[in-house]
Amino acid sequence: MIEVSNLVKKYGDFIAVQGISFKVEKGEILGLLGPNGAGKSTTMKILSAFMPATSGTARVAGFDVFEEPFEVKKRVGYLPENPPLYIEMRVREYLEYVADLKHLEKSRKKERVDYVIDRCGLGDNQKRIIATMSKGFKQRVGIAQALVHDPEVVILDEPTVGLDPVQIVEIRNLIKGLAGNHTVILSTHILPEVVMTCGKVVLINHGKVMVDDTVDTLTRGDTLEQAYLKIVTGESLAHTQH
Amino acid sequence: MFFKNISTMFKREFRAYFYTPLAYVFIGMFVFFMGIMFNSFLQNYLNYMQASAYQMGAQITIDRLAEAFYANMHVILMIMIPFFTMRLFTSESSQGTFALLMTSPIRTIELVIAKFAGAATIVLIMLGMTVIFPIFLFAFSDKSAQSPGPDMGIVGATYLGLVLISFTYVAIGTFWSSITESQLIALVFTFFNIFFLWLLSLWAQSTSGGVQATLQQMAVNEQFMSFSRGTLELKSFVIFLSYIIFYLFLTNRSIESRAWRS
Repeated sequence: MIEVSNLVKKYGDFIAVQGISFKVEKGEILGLLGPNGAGKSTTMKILSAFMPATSGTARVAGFDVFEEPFEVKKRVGYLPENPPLYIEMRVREYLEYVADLKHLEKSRKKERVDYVIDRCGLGDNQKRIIATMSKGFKQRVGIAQALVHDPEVVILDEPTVGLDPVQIVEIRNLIKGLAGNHTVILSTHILPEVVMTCGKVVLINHGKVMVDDTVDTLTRGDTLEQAYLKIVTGESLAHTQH
Repeated sequence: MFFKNISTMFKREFRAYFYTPLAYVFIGMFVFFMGIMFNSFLQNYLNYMQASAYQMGAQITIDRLAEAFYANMHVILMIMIPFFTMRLFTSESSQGTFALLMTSPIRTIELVIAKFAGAATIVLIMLGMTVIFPIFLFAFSDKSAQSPGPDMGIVGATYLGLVLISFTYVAIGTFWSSITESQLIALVFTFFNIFFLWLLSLWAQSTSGGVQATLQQMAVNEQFMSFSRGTLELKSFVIFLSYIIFYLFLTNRSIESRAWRS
């Protein structure tokens, strides 16, 4: 469903992503891990056809993100780090607008908007103006907009940021429920979250893939936290020796 | 899909003006100013009528006065339009909604046209509200030789000119809003750009020959003035349309390049 090979992204002289490759099968949930500045958001931006890579290829839902960005965009739901909300609109109105932007068929619009409002726990707030809502609610509206057009692939950049513990559990369950029908990539700093929701983990550091494995294998001996620290700090120690 | 995308985004763009009181306040202010001006216009007209009754009036006709009235309207539009266009693309950047648009199956040119059309529609509403003035003049004149109503042909040409010159200003504002995240910067540059086009006609006066002719053609207010005298020339249409297409093309380029820079 998602195939990334030798992806490179340079911002001027700075190389954010240096030749990463990984695969995600249909229905899987992939956790994209790594320290701040590792290249997670950049990778997600490329996969959602938001910006082109410097070199390398990425295929999402059977289409190349560079050759056929339109086909990719129709099939991807993307939540950036900052939820892209028109804060002066009302929740329902906004989600209907996103559905139109993504070319969701008219006949399914009401059903899908109702569904994501329900699943993201926005039922009582659907008529509220987004600007008046708390950070947690805004984040939920952000997740809802990524799901409203029933995309094959869902890309979520830190979806549980700003949520309280109860909401985190709800959103986590929501994401788990996507497995099977949707292919999901999510990035997060909360490691237990990965263990609970993801089947696979890709850990990147300094723009390179350090680990590409299932959660089960990674957590066989150590906890995921230990495994993560070993890889990230070990790598950066080796880095400073030069 | 082309028109469907545009209409989806246009509807949101247009509604966005009415989420805050801004559009109501600005349209209200515009109508209020124009009302005051129209009142003084009528006062002047009556004065001239009285003067000419005593054979003292100069060759002042209602059409000459209307020309001055609409020249004033043009200046007010010049000042107000940048306020309507400054938020077009800047708000998408500051709210992060640009990411939503760029990951949706739409073309940048569709986005640009929708934005332009949203602001242009607001301007059309403002202009539409002032149509009452010439209708009023026409309805209350007795169409006699002493008190002819305004020449509705000239009025029509003037409105066509106003629409074209306003759309040119909207296109300029659309462009400047696309190059910055700051509404204030977009506003200032749009003002500067519009006044620059206006200055061309002043600059033309101090030159001669081919340079003068070129500058005069490029000065949009000169083109507008020929409309408000009732002259419809293909050349003027072409000049306005060229400006609009040129600035929208630049906007499209600036939006496209943003995806590469981000």
